[in-house]
Amino acid sequence: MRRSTSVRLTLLPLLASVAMAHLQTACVEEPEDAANAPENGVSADGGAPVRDVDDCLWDESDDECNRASRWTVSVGQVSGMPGPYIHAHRGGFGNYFGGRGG
Amino acid sequence: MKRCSSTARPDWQRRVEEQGLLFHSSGAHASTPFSYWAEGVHYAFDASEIDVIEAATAELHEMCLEAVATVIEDRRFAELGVPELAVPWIERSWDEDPPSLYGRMDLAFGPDGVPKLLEYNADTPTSLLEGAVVQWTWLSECFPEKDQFNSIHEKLVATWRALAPHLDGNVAHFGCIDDVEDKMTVGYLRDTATQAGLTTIGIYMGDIGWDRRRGRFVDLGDRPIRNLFKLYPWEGIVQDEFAPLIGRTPELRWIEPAWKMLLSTKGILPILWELFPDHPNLLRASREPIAGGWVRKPLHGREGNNVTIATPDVTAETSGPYVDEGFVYQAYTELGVHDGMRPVIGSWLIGGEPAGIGIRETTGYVTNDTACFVPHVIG
Repeated sequence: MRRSTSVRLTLLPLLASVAMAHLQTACVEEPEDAANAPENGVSADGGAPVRDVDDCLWDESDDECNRASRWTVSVGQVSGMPGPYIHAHRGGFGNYFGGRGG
Repeated sequence: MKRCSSTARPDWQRRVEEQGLLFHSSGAHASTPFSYWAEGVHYAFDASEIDVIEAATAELHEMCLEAVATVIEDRRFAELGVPELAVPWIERSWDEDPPSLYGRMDLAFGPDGVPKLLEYNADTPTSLLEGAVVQWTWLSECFPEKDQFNSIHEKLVATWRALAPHLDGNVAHFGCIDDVEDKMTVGYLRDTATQAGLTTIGIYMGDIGWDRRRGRFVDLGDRPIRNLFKLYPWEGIVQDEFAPLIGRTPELRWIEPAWKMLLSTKGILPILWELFPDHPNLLRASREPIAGGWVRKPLHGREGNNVTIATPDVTAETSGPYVDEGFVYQAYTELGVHDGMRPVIGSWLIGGEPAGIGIRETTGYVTNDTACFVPHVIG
């Protein structure tokens, strides 16, 4: 009794080089217009220092965060999405010490 | 089951590299290089032995699903080390029955010829490319007249096709950490998903972003992530900073789904024994030491880390980082010794069905990251 079909792979070039190539294929796009983004922690209108967006990750009811996030917007638009939007907070996954498969 | 010698292909390193297995002579994580791909040796099974392994795998999987249902209905999450935060994710994913792709049971197949479940990596199994592709190519080049228990690749493609209608759109992100074995595995899985008609995007787990305004996880192009295959364990996700946000994104399809975390912990083993006492494919398991000898395993250990064996005849202990998360005790069973090597059978379930096997062997009593991958034949 055969346990597998004889038709096998049509592997993409991706596979042969995957472990050596950088996995990341997502396109990283710089904001087209960063005019409204804060610099050195100062809001674009020269007002009070802006809290890091990371501080605002959790509390959407925090008015200060909401005000701050207005100054941390990028006008780089995602097609079909309303903007402007804040830069995403990253690094919140992948920190578990046993984080690989096995 | 017997261990046999065969002629090594003269260009076998190039052949396995062409198929994506680049650490064939170093191991993925071992501190000392070793020949991970065991060219020139294989295991041979009778067809009846494969029938036994296949049937046991299917039955054990059904038993595991019953154990998951028991944990959820009786709310025994704490026994498995599952934090309260994750309970709603598990309950929701179990009720909605979202896509599930794969898992690998590690089985002992000792002198009595009865497979016994050592553990079930139902969440983030690896050694997949080796089992699905590299050993099949080895068979076709070395023993074209023989067979192999291996429809892993075909079932992966078929399962992706079956899952596609349950996904949100045609694009799936594939996440892992920066690890050579995981990138190889994810690369292969992306290949199978692509063959099934999906569009795939790779991303490191650490590069996933949270867009607060949209309330969505996003990739490096700030595109929303709607379907996420992750070669990254749920027990890690629950400890990550973003964990509290998962409950706010119920529309995100996770592969594997959250209920799989109940199976990928060794904490499920005592519950299986409780539900199916004296089942021939189970080993007695408990939260307490077992009279007559035991193997102690951490709830979420990997690669044989932090395992202790204590029997009248065998004692062994391995080191590792999994020291603070609790342990289970399992009765010791003999793996069988073949030319001084002790094999463990990795029995794959793809789309919930037995799909093939891959074998890891080592001289020691604990199968660790220096265990070689050995191909097999039927007949």
